Amino acid sequence: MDRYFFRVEHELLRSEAFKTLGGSAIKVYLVLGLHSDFGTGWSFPSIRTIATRAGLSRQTVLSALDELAAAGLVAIQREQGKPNAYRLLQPTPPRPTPSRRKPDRPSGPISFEEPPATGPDSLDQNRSSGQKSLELLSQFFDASGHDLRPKQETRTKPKHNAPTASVPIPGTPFQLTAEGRLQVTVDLKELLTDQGLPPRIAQKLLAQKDAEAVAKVLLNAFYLKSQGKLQNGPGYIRVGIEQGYDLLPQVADRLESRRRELQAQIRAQARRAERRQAESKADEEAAAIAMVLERLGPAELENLVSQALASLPAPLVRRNPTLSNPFVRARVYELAGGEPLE
Amino acid sequence: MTTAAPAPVQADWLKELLFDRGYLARIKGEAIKVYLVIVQACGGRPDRSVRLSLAQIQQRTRLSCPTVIESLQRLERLGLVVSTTREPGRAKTYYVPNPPAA
Repeated sequence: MDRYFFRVEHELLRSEAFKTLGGSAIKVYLVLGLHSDFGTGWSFPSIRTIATRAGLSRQTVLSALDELAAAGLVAIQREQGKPNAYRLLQPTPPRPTPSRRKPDRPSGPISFEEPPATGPDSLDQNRSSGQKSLELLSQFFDASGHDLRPKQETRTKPKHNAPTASVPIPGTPFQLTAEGRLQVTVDLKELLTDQGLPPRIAQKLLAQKDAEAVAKVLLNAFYLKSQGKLQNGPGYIRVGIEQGYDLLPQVADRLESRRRELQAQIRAQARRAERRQAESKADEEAAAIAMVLERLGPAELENLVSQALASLPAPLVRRNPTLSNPFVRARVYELAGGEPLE
Repeated sequence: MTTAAPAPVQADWLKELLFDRGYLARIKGEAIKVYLVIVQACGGRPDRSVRLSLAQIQQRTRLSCPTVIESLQRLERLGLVVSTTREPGRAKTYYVPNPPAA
């Protein structure tokens, strides 16, 4: 008797028939399982008994029996003058579910080389205007300006630990790190001389100030030039470096928004990497478990499942019979640390 | 010759609940499918809770959404299932108590 009722839970629920059968047929199946003879597997309940147990009408029971017979779950033996005999049959094993692997994500790290489409506006807006000394710099305002690679390893590169992730500032030869620092990828001396500063003064300024301060002034100059507001480029740059000009608010705002985007990209990349790692670990564990389970026989597997369930700690509510209200029991269960099963 | 008593199966409490206490006759046909799915998700043991979405129940019972909702309401009224979370947009957590004998 128990055998069949036990099977209802474990095999009928997993079978495809459970989804297609109506609720009345399930109820009749349960009643037949309850009445099944332990030795032979046959059951002989009358229609009235089934109807009473299941809370259905006689006609509904008859329809449900036909449904179960059609689904191949019950064998019915009808003989004149004898009670009907029913035998529960093994439900069809569930179809193997296809593995639900998510589509592969790009495996490599996200490249920050390409500027995002939603990036801040380029500092280049009025490229045509400007002095002759700034003409060479106009190449940096091109869309491909960030593709310019340093001609050599310059000594103006920051001495501190260079951050691994940086994003180019469109229209300039500089890069912005996630920490908000400016990274220079070209020879600053050459850049300053291209702006019209004498090489001797450029050398002197670079010796006095660090690369980031020079880059800030140059960014200001690029912006002012793009706005057509720079009358004396070399003079502005020289005074700006000597006085230690900070970034113009307009430039600082654009850099800040750029920096936030970069940080968001880095965080997303880290999250994706963590997720990939967790998924691969879970896949490995699942494969190992599946391999072990494949080697186990059904009886051994059943026994192990029963042992595992029995070894779980009994919830607090089971030790407290005074809690008769199911709502209170649910609350106590949660407070006792009973995490819901997923 | 003594034979070892068979180990109690995990469905004993369910059998007692459905037949001895007469809950099977009080549950509608669709509701018994929903209830069995929740019990199965709880590992076949009472006094546990499980987080299940309507879509998951629908997929396992092949019932319509209104039918699943109605069945859950019936089960809650009977005290067979207690939904403990009501966060909109998130799957509910259902606690399966072993209700005391009426």
